[in-house]
Amino acid sequence: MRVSPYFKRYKAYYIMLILPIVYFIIFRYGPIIGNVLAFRKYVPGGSIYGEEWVGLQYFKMFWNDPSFWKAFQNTILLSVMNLAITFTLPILFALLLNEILNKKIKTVIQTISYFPNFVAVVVVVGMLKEILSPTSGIVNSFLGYFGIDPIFFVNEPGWFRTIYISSDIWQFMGWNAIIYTAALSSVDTQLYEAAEMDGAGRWRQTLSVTIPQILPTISVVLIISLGSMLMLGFEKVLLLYTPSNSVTSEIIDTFVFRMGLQNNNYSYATAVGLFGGLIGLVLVSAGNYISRKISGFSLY
Amino acid sequence: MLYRRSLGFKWFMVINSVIMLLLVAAILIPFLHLLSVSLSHSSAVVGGKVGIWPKGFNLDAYVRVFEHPSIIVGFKNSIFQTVLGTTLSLFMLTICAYPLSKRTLKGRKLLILFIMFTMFFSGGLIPTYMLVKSLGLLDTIWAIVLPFSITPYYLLLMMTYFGGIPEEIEESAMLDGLGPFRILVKIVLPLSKPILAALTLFLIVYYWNNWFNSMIYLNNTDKHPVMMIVRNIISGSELAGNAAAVGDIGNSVSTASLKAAAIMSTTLPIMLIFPFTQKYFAKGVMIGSVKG
Repeated sequence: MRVSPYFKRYKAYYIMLILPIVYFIIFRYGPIIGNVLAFRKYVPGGSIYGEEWVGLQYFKMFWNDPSFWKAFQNTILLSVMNLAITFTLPILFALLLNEILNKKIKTVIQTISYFPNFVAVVVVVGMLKEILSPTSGIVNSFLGYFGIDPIFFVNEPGWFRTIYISSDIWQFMGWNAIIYTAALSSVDTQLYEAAEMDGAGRWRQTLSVTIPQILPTISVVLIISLGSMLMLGFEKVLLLYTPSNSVTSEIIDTFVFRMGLQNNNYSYATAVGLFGGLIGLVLVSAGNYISRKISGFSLY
Repeated sequence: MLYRRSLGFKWFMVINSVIMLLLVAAILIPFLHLLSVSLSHSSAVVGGKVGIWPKGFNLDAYVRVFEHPSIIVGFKNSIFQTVLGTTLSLFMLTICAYPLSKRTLKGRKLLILFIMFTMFFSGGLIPTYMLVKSLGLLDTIWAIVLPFSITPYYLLLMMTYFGGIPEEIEESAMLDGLGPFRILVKIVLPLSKPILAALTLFLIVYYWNNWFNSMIYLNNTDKHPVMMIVRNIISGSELAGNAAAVGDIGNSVSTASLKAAAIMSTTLPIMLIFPFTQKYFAKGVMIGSVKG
């Protein structure tokens, strides 16, 4: 048999790819196929793909489950509020940082600002719980000076979203601003000089030069984050979850975790997870499609 | 720049500097506060008198945390998970990204689609758990490092970087008789230090900070990483009965100090590598964003 010159030259590349392809088939497509469990009855000790078809039984079950709809509503509310705030602040931060004239100070501020991105979520929640503690927390002792009684922040359903979103700002604002800082530093300085000649002040220059120059970056980031908005910080929500704040802190992901891994309702939890995953897929694909149409940028 | 002389601009600069100062303070104060709590005497901590400076300085909280037997084991487990996980991921990412960065490779588009699809739609928590369980990986380190060894996003970063290396360099090496494996190790990898550094650091941070996979896949607490133990300490299930233990060392350590000390000692490794490596972190993000 004659081996084609193409294959002779590229054989090694295909050999390299064997292991990764096996990995993707087993560990990435295995669980995707495993979603059939949502349509099949699971018997403990039986096949992970279930024993018999039950159709949409589990979907009907969660569809009629008010606690699922509570989790669904919480997911949407938290996602929308979180997106509105954590999308806007990095842009403002990057714009303000850009006005710091001393390069060294600028770098130092930027470096400090994105350090929290690397702090473990366990540590972030641990810090929150300490700082907000009703007995020894710094926030409550500060409020005490004004005669306000200690508030058990991490147990109050009304405070959950505020805590989640503010800690998200603390964790990710600096990191998410990097892309804008880079876009700002590549704006042609001649544009500013020209605007200056036309008598534009700094505010005018920001509006007419800076913002239009970074608008493509902003729109791409917006579309991508709209697409992935339902991907909340599951681990953080799980760590912040207490039975007393569950009215607001139960989201789809934690609902799946509790139903599946804590109550062993595997098929039921798989059905809920699949439903959430499909909504996410639709959002991401739509975001990606629009982004490619508008700016030529897409994730794939 | 004329506008810099205007009064309005000077006011803006002052206000802006104050905003930046407040931001930096807001990021650093939680750390400073926890550090002082971990170093303070219990009487000051319980009374809520500790700000960002220790009161009644002592190291007893750290002594107690490190006397806790599972913490030392946890550190060992974390190091093991981090080293094995990072090494395995880098290896898998490299052998996957390098061939796929060759634009002339037949079937490349199809393979990339096959891989990238998993970025948008994944199996979800329960099917992944069931798979790991059925493969008999529960309670082994492989449950932690295997299922997540190739992150599609990191693969994308690496492919983009490899794709930017001029083809001519590799062509001439090929004429010298080097095969693709040798070219990868001797030429491509040494040229890819920035992306390798960035991904190594991302992976180290990922494995070091991970606790959730250990919680669901490792029933044997002797295998738990330190983050899992910190999580138990914070939720109060570990170091329980510490009232008695606190009595042993003269009541100088409060529960809050113990939690703070646990938090600080696990974050310290990240804090120590961060200043030296932060330029690579930023580079990693930028490589991802310039892809057109």
